[in-house]
Amino acid sequence: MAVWLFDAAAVVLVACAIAAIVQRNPLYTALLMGVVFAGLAIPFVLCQAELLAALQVIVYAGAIVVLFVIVITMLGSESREALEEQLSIRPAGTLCALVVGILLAALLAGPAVWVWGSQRAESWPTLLSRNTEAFSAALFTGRYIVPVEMASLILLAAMVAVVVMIVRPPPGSNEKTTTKQ
Amino acid sequence: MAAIPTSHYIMLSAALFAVGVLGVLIRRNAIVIFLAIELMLNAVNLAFVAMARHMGPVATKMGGATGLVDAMQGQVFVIFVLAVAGAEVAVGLAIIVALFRHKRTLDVDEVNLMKW
Amino acid sequence: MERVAWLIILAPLAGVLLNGLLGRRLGKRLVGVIACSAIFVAFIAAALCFRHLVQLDADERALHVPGFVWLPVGALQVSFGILLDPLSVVMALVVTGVGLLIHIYSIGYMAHDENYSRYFTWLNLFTASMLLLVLADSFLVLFVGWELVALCSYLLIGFWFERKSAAAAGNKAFMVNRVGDVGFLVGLLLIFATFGTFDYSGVFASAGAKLQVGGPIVTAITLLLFIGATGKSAQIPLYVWLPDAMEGPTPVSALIHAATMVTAGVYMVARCSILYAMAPVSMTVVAYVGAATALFAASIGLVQNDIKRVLAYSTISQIGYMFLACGVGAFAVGIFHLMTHAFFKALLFLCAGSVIHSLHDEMDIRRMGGLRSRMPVTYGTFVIGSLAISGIIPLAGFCSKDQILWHALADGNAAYWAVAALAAGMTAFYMFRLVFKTFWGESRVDRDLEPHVHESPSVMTLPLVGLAILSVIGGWVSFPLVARGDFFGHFLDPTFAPALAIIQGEVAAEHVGLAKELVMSLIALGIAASGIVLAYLAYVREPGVAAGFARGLPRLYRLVLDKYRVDETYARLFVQPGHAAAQGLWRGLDVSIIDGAVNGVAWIVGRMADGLRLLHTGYVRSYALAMAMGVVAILLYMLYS
Repeated sequence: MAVWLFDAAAVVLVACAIAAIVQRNPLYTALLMGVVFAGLAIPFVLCQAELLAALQVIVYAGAIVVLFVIVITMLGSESREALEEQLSIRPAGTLCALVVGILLAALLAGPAVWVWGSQRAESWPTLLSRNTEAFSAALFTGRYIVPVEMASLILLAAMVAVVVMIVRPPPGSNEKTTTKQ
Repeated sequence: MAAIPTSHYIMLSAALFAVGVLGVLIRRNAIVIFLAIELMLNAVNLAFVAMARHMGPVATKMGGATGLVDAMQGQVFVIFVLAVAGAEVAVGLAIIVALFRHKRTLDVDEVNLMKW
Repeated sequence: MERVAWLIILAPLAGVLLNGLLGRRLGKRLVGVIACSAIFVAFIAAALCFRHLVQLDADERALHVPGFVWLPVGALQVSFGILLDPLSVVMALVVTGVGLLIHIYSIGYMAHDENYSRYFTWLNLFTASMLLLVLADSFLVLFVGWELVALCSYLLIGFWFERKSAAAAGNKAFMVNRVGDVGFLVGLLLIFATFGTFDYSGVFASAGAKLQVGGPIVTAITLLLFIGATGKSAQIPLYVWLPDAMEGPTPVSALIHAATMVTAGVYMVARCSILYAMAPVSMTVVAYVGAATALFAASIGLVQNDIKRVLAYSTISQIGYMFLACGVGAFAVGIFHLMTHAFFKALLFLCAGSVIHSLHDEMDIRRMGGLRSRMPVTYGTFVIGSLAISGIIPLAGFCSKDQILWHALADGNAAYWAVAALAAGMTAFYMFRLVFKTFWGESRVDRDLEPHVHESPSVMTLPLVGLAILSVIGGWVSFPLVARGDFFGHFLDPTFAPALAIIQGEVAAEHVGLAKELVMSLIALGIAASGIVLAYLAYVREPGVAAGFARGLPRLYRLVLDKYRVDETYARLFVQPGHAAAQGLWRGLDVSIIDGAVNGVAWIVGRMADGLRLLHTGYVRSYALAMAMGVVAILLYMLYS
């Protein structure tokens, strides 16, 4: 049963992704991407990574895509673009992407991985608690605690950077603090 | 319930990654390019999680009890990717907005000051 | 004694450093004091070494003061040391003594020059180099000093380098010296090839063993070394730089081009007396060149109108005497004449400088005259110098010149004597021509300068007096005709004994024919006196006679006045072809090939850059594509390795 669930989800995801990148309107692109992000929770769950599935939906689909949508709507109609692309790059780009995909697949899904995964005997509810516990145990005890703290610092730095870059003093205020070019 | 072969996950991940690369190379709108990059990150996340499950159970100590649990390294990596991706999106969009304020366009082809 | 010996060289070097580095800030007075004190210290040191040597027995009068090993290259061990023997100590005394007086004189002469400290720096450097040359204990160190004095000569001749003629004269001096140095260098190499060492001790001790008397090697060595000597000491054919060198300040002419540097060649021949004694052919060549130069230069000096030029040709002529003496085997006499010549030639030059200074750089004797009442000290000392150089008894010049003439006859042949005597007559004539035209008669001085003619300050006249005294008594250390009156020769005996032993028959001529010697001396005195009288007649009694001669024999007069057009001949034979060759090489090699190669490389880089530059499209997506292609490459690599 899990297999056809996965296959269906996979097809939908790839279709949405392709659709997303050929959209004219960037808003549609963002929304379709949101679908893809949310849809990625399905494989996560099928891998018994339930916490991550939840986090994926909350963070990616819930925050990042929303952020994109905000920016898109903020920048308004000028963010549309003509459909005329640089013809020279389109074939090369497509070819590259295809090649990358195939190679990745060949590399990672190679002979070592062409096996059936391990069997699972546990039922779902117990698995849920197990995954979260295991995940948090691994994260907050043992050697991943420092990266966790560093990740929080990165987020802090990003916040500061964004504020510095975006916030403009209201026009006519203190002349001296405006940075000269 | 038969388990899904890890290769399936990997192929899905590769496909999504390829779509992401395509998006980066094809589109001119800076925001769409950025979204494609996020897609690539997600594809990689999927690969991590799949490989985490592929590694199989290991003995772990957890809250006093010891038992067999799946290896967590892959999933831990994903959380970091998530955090960094969030930060990156924030900063990247800030840059795009700042750029837009200067050039009134989101077309990356217009940003060619480094042209000889 | 070792440290004192080093002090002789190091004191002037200290002066160089102090004046060279701090001169501008020290002020003129201090610079002059430093320079003169340095030479004074060197003089005292030389005197101490002299006193030490005098107290030693004749056999031991050679002290080797080792310095440091300079070039240890495998089998070749070149060391830097000092040899204190009679010859080097005498030379050191002359250089420092006369040098000291000239330094003091320079304080007055150069007082108004703004490059005061540079002048004294070079002067001290020259003195140090000359002392290095004479005190060296090996040919290589000699050569170092040799080159250094050439450098200082260039620097000092071209001291007023803003003047084109001075700069050209400096170049000429250096280059003509260089031509001679080629011969010298080849000679040095031959010495090394033969003896395997450059040290005097090594070479002279084994000269008898390794060379055959009269053989080709020793002849070649000595002739080659002599070529260098003709360059340095301004003999035929490389004398042409010395008259031009008069562009430099007069004290420089006195020190370098009269008393010291130009005598380096004579010193070198004397130092290598053993080698020359073993090569009779070379000795003959040396004597011939010396005699010929003496006569040739004297003849040019007869008609020159520039007071310094006359003295320059006189110097060339007198050095010819020194080489004549060495050439016939009378090395000690040659050195003796070197010493006395230093005294009176320096005196003459400094007097000329005094006149030039008071007449505001007028050097043409046709615009002088009647100065003897206005400049009494200068006049008096100049006359003393002229009498000395003419060889009038009992002045220094007589003592040395008479011995040269005697040895030219006794050890050489009558032809040598005749040439030397004729030149002596000419010397007396042109020197007193100078005296009469400069100091006697009506004043032909420029109207504007007339009232300013004055005697020079005492800082300049005191050295004149000092040198005049030396010109009088300086010869008494070796008075001819007086038995056992040759203190100088006895002192130098140990140095030249080995050479004299090879040249047999020397001792015999010493005592035989004292009466003959007396007669020849009287004849020589007569010739000199007649030269003076002729000059008196021509320039005081009948002033028109000289001009009449010039008009009567116009072509001859022009030829001699133009110095026999030797300079012009050299220019056409050597200078112009060399210049053309240099031009051709410059265009063909330097501009086309070397510059072309360098520019070509730059051109290639430029073209490459032009091509590669096109990669910078500024087009973000092409960069992204490049990255994607790179990823593909990595993946392929990972798959297939």
